[in-house]
Amino acid sequence: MDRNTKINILSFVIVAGFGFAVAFHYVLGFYQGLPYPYNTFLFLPKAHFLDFFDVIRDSQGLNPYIGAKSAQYPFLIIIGYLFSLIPRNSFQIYLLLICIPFLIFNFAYFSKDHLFSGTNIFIITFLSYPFLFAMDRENFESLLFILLLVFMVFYTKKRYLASAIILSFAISMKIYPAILLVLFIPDKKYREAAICIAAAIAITIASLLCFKGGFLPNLLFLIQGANIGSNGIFTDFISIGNNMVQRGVSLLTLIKIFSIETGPLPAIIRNHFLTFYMGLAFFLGILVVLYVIFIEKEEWKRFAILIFAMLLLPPISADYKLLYIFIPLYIFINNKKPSKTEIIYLLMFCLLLIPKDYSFLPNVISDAPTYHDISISVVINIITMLLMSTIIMISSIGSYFSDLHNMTGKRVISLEITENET
Amino acid sequence: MIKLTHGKQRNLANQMDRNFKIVALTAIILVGFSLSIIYHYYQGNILGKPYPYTTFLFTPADRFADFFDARFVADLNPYLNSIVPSAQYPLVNVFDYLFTLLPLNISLEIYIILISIAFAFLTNAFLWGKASRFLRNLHFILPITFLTYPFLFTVDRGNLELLVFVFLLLFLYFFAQEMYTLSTIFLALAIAMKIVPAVLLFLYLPKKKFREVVLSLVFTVLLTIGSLLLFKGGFGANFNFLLHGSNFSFATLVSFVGPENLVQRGVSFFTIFKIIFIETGWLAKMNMPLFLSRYIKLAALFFIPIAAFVVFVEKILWRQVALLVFSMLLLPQISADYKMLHLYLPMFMFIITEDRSRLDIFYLVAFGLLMIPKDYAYFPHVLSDAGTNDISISVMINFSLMVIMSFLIVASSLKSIFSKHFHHSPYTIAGLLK
Repeated sequence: MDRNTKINILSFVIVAGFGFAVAFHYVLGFYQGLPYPYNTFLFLPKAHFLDFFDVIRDSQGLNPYIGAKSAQYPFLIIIGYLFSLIPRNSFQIYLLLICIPFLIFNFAYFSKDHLFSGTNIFIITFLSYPFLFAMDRENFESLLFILLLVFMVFYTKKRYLASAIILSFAISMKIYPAILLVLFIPDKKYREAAICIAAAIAITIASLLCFKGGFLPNLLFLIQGANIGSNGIFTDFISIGNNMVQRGVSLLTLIKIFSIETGPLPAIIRNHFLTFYMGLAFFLGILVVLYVIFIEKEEWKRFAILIFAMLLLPPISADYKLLYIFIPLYIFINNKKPSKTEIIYLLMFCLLLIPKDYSFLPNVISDAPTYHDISISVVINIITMLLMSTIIMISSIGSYFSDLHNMTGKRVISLEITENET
Repeated sequence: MIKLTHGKQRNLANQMDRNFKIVALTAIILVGFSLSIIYHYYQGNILGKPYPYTTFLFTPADRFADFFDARFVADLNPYLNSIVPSAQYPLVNVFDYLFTLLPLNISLEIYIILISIAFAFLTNAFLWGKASRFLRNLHFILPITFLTYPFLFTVDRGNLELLVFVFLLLFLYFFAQEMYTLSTIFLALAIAMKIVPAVLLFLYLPKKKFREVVLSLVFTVLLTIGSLLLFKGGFGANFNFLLHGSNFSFATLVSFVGPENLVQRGVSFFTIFKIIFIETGWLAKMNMPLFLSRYIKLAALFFIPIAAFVVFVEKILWRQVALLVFSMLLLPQISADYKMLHLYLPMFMFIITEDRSRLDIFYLVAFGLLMIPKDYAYFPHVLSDAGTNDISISVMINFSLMVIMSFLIVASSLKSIFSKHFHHSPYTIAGLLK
């Protein structure tokens, strides 16, 4: 399957998925007069752009922790503060700040060998579910996404130092992109990894120094995880005693949905649910790291496995994070190594990029109060990523051991030849 | 050998041109569709405004209403029943009757699915000509066929214009393949369903296919008489009803052309006049029945030079089709937005034409604009049959685009004819000086 075919299939599935979802929700919302969540595949319409304004609200006095008990990391607060200085329509400027670079990236990565690829680029840029969801929430995650795109460009061009610096800014905004540091290890770029960590710490400290209330109280607030812990909704998402889950892609969400819809978990897990989950996530995270360092050789697969881990393992991981799917997708589309399974990978990528909320789970609610707006889409996304990770890992482990076997065989033969010669 | 290479180069150039048109058109359709979805989502769901801000289609409460009118024909008595005498031509009523043989919901689903499949395959046949390329072209076929305003509007209304349109596509496909006799059957089916496609009969005349004109008319008459023979109340009474135009006495249709501040969401010249009358306050002073009578006469007169131009002057098929389809849409006093489906006929011919013109880019953008929703502002004083002020600037833009395109087609053809004529004539100024 050549690059152009991949792009054509991708754009076809995205436009078909988008068109079908719009028609489906139009029929339910306007023909049948059903309320939210039946009238849209996005979040509660009256909560549009709320994530953006929440950060602006927490940031504008530069007293995010002691005063506003913000759930955000220090550097993100600084960015929010800068946007709060814009007197009006800052959210529109933010939209442009995301849309224009994303369009340029898509042009660079999806423009086909001939000139006329504008249609595909438009479809892939503006009609995917992750992009529309992220724009509707206007979460700063989309800015982080742009940073990680820049990181990917530098990293794939082997400009490791530049990529490390960009990654440090991303890690300072939200901690979990730190998993991408693992990419430096197989390339033996330990110095760049260290620079990245040092830069992230420096950016965080510099940000904390700007906050009101003093450096130490703010640092303590952050170290104690109070920025997450003091957020009531986050606490509800990650505790097992209620039926509220995040519209997201965390493995915790899948386990919680499973327990709500099919019956309670065993008491030993239920009583220590978060500890159990964090242990499980830590164990899976270690496996992923070891796999990427020692086994996986293909670049897109390394990115895919780490991005999936970054999306699936944190206990809080909203749907706008699906934007990161574009990062391995870019490398996958431009990957020239043929493979029998690439059509399966492509279709799975496509599935992750379209709205799929054609049925809602009856016993689960989200943070859109009282609405049962968690759909099968949440379950499909998580299972698709798990499945894709499994297929990638099994195929690579298989070829790793067959290579090992061949190498051992060759070594034995060469040893026998040497002995005979002797 | 040289000739072959030259031919190959020419084919490649043509291929690029057609591809460019397809890609550009798809891009315009996708951008227009998405922008409209976002705009109406914002207006309806976020700002909480009611219809018409919630959609670019007709009022959702009235969905598929044109299709469900078929229930009045369940007893095969469309004209002489006392409840709702049908406003449709006999063959439409026969199709409506066939739909009532199944529960109407199921008939509607079957109708839309079958028409959509036929439309998608015909689009592929028109634009690429090879059935084997269908899957490879799907990412273009999907937006061009299913994401356009005319298609979505017609599906939402459930109007049988979709069937007329498929017949016209088949007619044009066979006509372009020079299978003229076969084409007459599909044109006759379309004319027997709605009279206005009869204007396309003029396409046969420049090719001197007079036998095909007669055949089309004979088939149309046979289909109409055959349909009338099936109706209750006897052939004579039904025929009389039809002959007196009583099928047009439908109350809503009458009010569209009457003194009420009501217009049809459509593309008729008459609609534009009425919008102007309403918005300027002139409607109160107008004698609408008299205006209507004059309008009909003038429209008929206006069509004569257009038909003559198509028959005697214009040589390029897409332009001939465009002029006739624009006339078919603009001139009748009643011409709803779903008739814009027929714009696909000249658009497809334009995409595949090998004729080149400096105005092609304008035609391409104009066709693209005609295919997208554009209702971003509404006329404050004009009502439609939805009972609200849902007539938008889209109506004006569509009308203007078609008028400008017609004018440019005629002007550019006349210009090239005159320039050729004077170039070859000895009576030029240069010739006189010699």
